Amino acid sequence: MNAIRIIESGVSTTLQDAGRWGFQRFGVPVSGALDKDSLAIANHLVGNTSDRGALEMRFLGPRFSVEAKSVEIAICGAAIAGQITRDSESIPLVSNRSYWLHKGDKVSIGALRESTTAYLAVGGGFEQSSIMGSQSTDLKSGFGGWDGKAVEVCSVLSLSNPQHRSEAQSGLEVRYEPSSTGSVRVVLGPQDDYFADRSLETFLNSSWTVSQFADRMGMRLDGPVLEHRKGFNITSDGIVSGAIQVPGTGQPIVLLSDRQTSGGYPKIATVLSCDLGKLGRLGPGAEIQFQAVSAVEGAMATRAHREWLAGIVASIGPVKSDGSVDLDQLYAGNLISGPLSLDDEFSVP
Amino acid sequence: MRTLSDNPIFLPLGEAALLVQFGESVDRAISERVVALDAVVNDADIAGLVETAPSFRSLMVQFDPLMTHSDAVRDQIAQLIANVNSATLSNRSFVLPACYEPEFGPDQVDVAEQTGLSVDEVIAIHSEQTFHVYMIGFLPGHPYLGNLPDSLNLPRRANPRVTVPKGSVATAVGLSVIYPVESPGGWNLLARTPVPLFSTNGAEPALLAPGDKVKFQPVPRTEFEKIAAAVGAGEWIAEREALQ
Repeated sequence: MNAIRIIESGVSTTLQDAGRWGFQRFGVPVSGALDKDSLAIANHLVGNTSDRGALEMRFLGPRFSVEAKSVEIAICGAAIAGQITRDSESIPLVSNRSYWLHKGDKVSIGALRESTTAYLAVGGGFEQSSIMGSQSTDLKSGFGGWDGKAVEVCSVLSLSNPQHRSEAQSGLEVRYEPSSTGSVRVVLGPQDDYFADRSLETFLNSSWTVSQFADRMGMRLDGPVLEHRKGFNITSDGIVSGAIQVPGTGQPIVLLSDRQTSGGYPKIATVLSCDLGKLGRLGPGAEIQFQAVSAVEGAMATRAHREWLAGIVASIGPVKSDGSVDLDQLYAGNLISGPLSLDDEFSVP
Repeated sequence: MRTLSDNPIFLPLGEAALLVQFGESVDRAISERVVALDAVVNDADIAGLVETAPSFRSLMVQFDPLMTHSDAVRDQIAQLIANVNSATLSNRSFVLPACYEPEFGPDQVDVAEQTGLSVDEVIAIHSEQTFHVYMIGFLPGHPYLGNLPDSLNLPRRANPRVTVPKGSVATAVGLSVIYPVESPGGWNLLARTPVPLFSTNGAEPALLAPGDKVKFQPVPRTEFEKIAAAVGAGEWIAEREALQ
């Protein structure tokens, strides 16, 4: 069987790609990976395009056995100390490089460190039909992924026919160290005028703590109370991932991938799309500060971010026996032909 | 209808989206301008456009910040608005069968008591109204229909239900809605329709779109069951007709 079989499911392991775009007018959430940077790198490490569906893992990864003859995998987004059990041998499993697995191998990923979210990509992707153009699991609507659900014990996840690729293992020459602390850039609005000036200052000058109420739909932040100037009910309007709504409690909620398509609370600001991955990596207790930029500055930041990501992807090359990337092979080989741009295949924000 | 160019305002929604807002309230004339602009924007060739989503009073326009930026999108939309005096509105109308038997409308008596009407009057007023689809949201395929006649207007229920059955037709806050799937909900349940409002198959997963007109056709329980069976067998097609 060309599949992997789940032995332990992890906390919430779902199939996610770059999202279900084009259907917000029908009330369909975009869903998709919380951390699209790490999704893209995991995919490229196994020779996939950036937005192929991969297993999104939260807090704790799954254990699984390999039933396919062979498959290449890579994990990206969090630090792990996993292992591959092959016959009686135990092979350490780390992030940011690929491994070839064979039938009978057992893989244990364990706890995610330095991030709450990581991706497990498989060469060729998972064999699962798209719903409205996406493999992403929408847990609330109950579609996408495998029956709209997180993977469970004994789930058998079918693999696409892997592309022809030598059993060389790939790694990153440029270190991928995504930030999971510090400043998150926002564009103020669309309803910043619903807040008193001093509340806008409080919003931008305070340190906010991610509360226990944090999931794929959004994260509520704890901090000083933001005061509304014109009430907290507005006629519902369109929202995007990263919109920061402030209900009557005065505690902001940052909306994430599984958000609804509209909202009826004033939105004080919106996180830049290039900083959403950072939010996806944060868990309860993490500290956030917001920094206001203009929409045009934000577009430039997103462009710079995409170039940084393309640079990391361009550094993917064969892994030497000591675990580092073989630069001679990288430059001489045929893995990279010309400058690599992610734009063509990852063209949605 | 007023022309599109009556002072919409552009509001930023991050670096990759903006709102074109025509007003603050739930208002048929505002909604018609949103729907008209939605059609115009999607017909135009705007570089980097990802998608648009109409809501009550504004159009959300999402774009790829690698291909364009908010100032350019705003200028292009302002140009479109200046050159369009009126736009074609949806002329789609749907007659949706709805069963108003007490079992399917458990809040009929409450609504009648609070509005001073009889249950029969509540049902008559609701089913005689031609509704305008303002937007689809809250759940996939979930329409917000307006306007509810003032005589039926009530707030949401003080105690929301944990589960509202699929197909429930409900009213509150000047509007009517249909729950496309089982869901929690705080609106007053008056009826149930067997018509599927959302399907994950096909290019248009939602039955209704903003700008459509909807009327509820009261049907007895037997007819409801018959349609539900036909829907289950994949043999039912929504009846679309010109109203008026």
